Amino acid sequence: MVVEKIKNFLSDLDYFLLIPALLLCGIGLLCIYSATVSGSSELQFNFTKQLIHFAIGLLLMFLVILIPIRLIDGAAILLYTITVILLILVLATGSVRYGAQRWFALGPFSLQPSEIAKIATMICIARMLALSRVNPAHVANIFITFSLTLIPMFLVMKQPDLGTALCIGCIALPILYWHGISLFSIFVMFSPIATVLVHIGSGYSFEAFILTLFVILMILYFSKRKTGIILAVFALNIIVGLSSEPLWDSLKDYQKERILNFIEPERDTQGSGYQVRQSKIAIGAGGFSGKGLMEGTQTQLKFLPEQHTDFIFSVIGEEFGFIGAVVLLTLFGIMIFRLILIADVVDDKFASLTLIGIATLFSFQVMVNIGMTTGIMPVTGIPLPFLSYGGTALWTNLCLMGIALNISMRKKVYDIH
Amino acid sequence: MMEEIKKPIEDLFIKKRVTRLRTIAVFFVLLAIGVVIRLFMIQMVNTSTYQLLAKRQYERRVTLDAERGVIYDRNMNKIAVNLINYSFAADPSFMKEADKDKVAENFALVFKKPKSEYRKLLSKSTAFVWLERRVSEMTARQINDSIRGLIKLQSLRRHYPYGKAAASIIGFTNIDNQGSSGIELDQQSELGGLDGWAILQADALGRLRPNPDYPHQEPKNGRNIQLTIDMNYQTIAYQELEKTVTDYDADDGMVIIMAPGTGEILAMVNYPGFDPNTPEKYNSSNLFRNRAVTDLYEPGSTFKAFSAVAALEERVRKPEDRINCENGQIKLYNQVIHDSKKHGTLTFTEVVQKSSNIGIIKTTQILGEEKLYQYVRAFGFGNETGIDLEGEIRGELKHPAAWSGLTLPMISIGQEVGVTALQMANAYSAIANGGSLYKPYVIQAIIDPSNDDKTAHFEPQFIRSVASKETMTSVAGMLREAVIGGTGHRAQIKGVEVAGKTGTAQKIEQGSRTYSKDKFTASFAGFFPVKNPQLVFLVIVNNPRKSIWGEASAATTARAIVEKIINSSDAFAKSINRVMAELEQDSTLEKNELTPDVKYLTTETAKNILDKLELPYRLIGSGDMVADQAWDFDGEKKVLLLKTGSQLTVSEAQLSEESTGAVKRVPDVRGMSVRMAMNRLYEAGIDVKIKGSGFVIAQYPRAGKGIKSGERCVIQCRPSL
Repeated sequence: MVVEKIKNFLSDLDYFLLIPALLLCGIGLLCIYSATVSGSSELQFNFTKQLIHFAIGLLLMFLVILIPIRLIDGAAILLYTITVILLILVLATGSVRYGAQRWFALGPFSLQPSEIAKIATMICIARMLALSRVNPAHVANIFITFSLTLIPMFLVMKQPDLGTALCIGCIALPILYWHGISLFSIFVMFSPIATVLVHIGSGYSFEAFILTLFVILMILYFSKRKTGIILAVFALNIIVGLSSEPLWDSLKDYQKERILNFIEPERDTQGSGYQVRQSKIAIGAGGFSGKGLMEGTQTQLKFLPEQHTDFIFSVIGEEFGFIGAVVLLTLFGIMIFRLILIADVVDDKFASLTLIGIATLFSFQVMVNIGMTTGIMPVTGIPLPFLSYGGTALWTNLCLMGIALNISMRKKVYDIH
Repeated sequence: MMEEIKKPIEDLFIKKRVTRLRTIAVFFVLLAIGVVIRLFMIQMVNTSTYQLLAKRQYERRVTLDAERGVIYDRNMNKIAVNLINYSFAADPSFMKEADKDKVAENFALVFKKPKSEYRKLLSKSTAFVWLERRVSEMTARQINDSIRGLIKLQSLRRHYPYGKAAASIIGFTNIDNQGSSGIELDQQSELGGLDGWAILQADALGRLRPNPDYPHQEPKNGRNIQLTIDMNYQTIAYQELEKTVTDYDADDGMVIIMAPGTGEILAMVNYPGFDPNTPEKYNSSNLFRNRAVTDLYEPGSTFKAFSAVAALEERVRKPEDRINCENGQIKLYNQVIHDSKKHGTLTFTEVVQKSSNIGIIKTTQILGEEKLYQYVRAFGFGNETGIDLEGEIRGELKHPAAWSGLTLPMISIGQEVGVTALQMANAYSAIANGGSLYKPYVIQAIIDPSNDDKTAHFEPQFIRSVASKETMTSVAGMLREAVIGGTGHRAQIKGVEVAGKTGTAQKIEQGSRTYSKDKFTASFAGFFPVKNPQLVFLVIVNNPRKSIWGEASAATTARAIVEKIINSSDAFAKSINRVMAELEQDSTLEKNELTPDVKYLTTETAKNILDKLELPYRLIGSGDMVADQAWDFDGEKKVLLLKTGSQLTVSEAQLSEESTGAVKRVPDVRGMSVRMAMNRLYEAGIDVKIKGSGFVIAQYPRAGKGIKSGERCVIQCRPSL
């Protein structure tokens, strides 16, 4: 009987999700081993710790699979509230490490409420949107989603932990879009940012500014919206664009420097620029097939400090080469597309929105992390899911995987298009 | 949008799914493609650039220093050796700010410099900055080198144990251990060897690890060089010259000691010298020159010996020929020439002995210009001697065609001629050895360090015969007379037949080439013993303000040097057989009052000492060690009683006596020769510091007093008791 149950359970598992996840965890452990084995005993101990993290994480994942999805749905608001309280508490009482206050010390391990906030925010948004009785494109949805997102984002930013805050923030738009807001709304939200970036990026070129405004006007025209809306959006862009120059100039030099270093880390050869440079060298030197496990000179000779955390991708790039990186991306790709596919076919709105949230969170982290290690994105401290060293992050990802597997097992399949 | 609102909410969610799904999927795919393109660019297209960058980071080409050859003196004493030392540098870009502070503090403490100085160096934005170079191992150990970005390099540094004494010949090396002057520079190709290299793997901390797969080239160590210099002589000469220059308030001085039969340079001293261990402390490179070969001086009366050789060889004069010295004044080409003392008629020997200008000039007037020039050239003047040292000049000797009427008389008394100290010493060697001019040399052999084979060995090189043996013997006799009863009398040493000639000449001002009115060069050139000369020596004192005369400063110095050399060397003691002889003659020594301490020596050694001092003694017992000693009367005669015992019992007695601590009892060494005293003190396990030479006249601590280990017993010595 029990055997039968277990058999059923195992056959119901979505292996398109599970196998890539487990493989990624395995590769992660291998890379952590390679990155730490030639270091101090303290550094080497990280591998053992991550192994324990992984074991606990697997347990958590299976636990999450067993929870009925309705229960998760129902507990979403409660979980969100608790998380916000924890975030406030951690700011008040948490332990400080690497200059940021993000941890609750739990014996030899530590807990990052900001990681839990990723899950909590995601399911809370999904719950609220699923409950929403107004038109999906209605501004109210946007308002609710953004409110739910901005509270934990602000608290995490205060720690300060920009990376996690961005992870929390990234979920909102795709979920909203999947829920049904129009592309036009997204355009309205993004056009002022684009205007500012083009304006500053072109060195306040008047021609570029005019061109940007012209393009925006064209898009607005063809959107066939009400003239009032069109004019309002257009005016907003002009005001934002014109005020960007005096705003930028009013910044102190060190503030400008900080922003520029953020956008282009290699400007700063001492701090994060050093890491990015070393990481780029490591990945580049890996070439097509890599130098082989434990053979990477950048990795083994410790040119990258703390390589086993956020810069773990450089180990893969150096030791397994382009092939290794593509395999890694393929594993993520299978996982993410499977998530989207299930989101499409699942009959429950909360589940569908949550899956899109999970898919977004994973792909955002993968892209930003690899972008950072290859020097095309700012250094924000976003780890590579399943691979980077870190207990809470791994648990969060495995719990998310648990939710996804849970939904996948209980989905009522529509006719697949 | 208008239509959408009218539709049921769930429917809309389902209806728009396909497009929205595609949009999201396309968005993710585009992002993924962007990342893959980026990876493709750096891993496939530009991989060689990054591989090169990585290689440059982890591969360090390091030089494997070749060990510089050691320079030995003729007795294989090390004059220039290599010491291991350390240099510290930093890579500030690698160093944490907090570490920079720590490092600066550490260095400031160890090197006693302000912390800010190091802090400033560490704030530079370069990848490499020297903090301290050439630091001894002891000092280096006080630096915490485990800090990231701090680089510790090991290197070899030249060390010169004899300090200033031989600096002008040996020279020194620069901070990169390359020869900068002297033999270190001349023989750079022999001494320097060939540096090797290796490619090492470096980690982010700058720690290097060798990789056997990487290419490397072993260094080829430099060759060792053995000089003809005797550091014993060199040191004695330096110390005596230093004393003279100070005492006579002179500018500087030179001493050359040569072996007349071979041309070997035994000592070549320039004072003031410099400490080759710290050449950076001197800002005038003048001190670095070996002035004995690079500078010329006007020799004055020492030159008269060569005029005498020419006159005797050409049979213009015989030693006993009588010459009217015109009471110290003659007129020649409207120029009045004086003697420093008025002389009437002198024999030719006396002319040389008393250094009469007039006597010599009258002689060379007969000899003629061509002949004198011929002999002066034959002695090697006006030409480089060809010594194996860099920077030698040929001196100034005009061809007779360019001579004025006064040139001949002037040159014959050592004026209007510029010579180097080396030329002069070498010419006197030719007189001393019976007429043969040799090429002087300082390098005896070049030795392969790997097997101690001599890759080159330098033999004496005969150049020419200057004059007959008879002539030279005759002139040597005259020079001996000059020491006994002439101008060189201050070089007189009891029991040693020194021959030589003093000289006092107006200095040629460097640059203007005119004579100085108040600056003189005092010199003494000579050799000993006159019958079979062993050493030729030349002392030059520049501008001695206390007494301008060569017979004062230079001759005195020569005497002091010769005396010390004789006392310092068994070979001379034997060949001249002077030490014991004088001891016997000297009856002032009350032998009985002087009690050598032979306690705790083996009976054999004790007997030896007492025999040498010719003290009567009697042994009591038949042990092999002296347990106690006491004076006794054997009838009228005082006798030293030696109580002997077995080694064991005596050792125990000695132990109990010394058990009060690590204190040793100082034996009485008064009256012993330096050598004997040193041996005696050495046997008692006591270090010695010697002042003077010859025989011990006083000691500190006194006999019987305790001395702690590490302390030295100072013995004051005097040539004779």
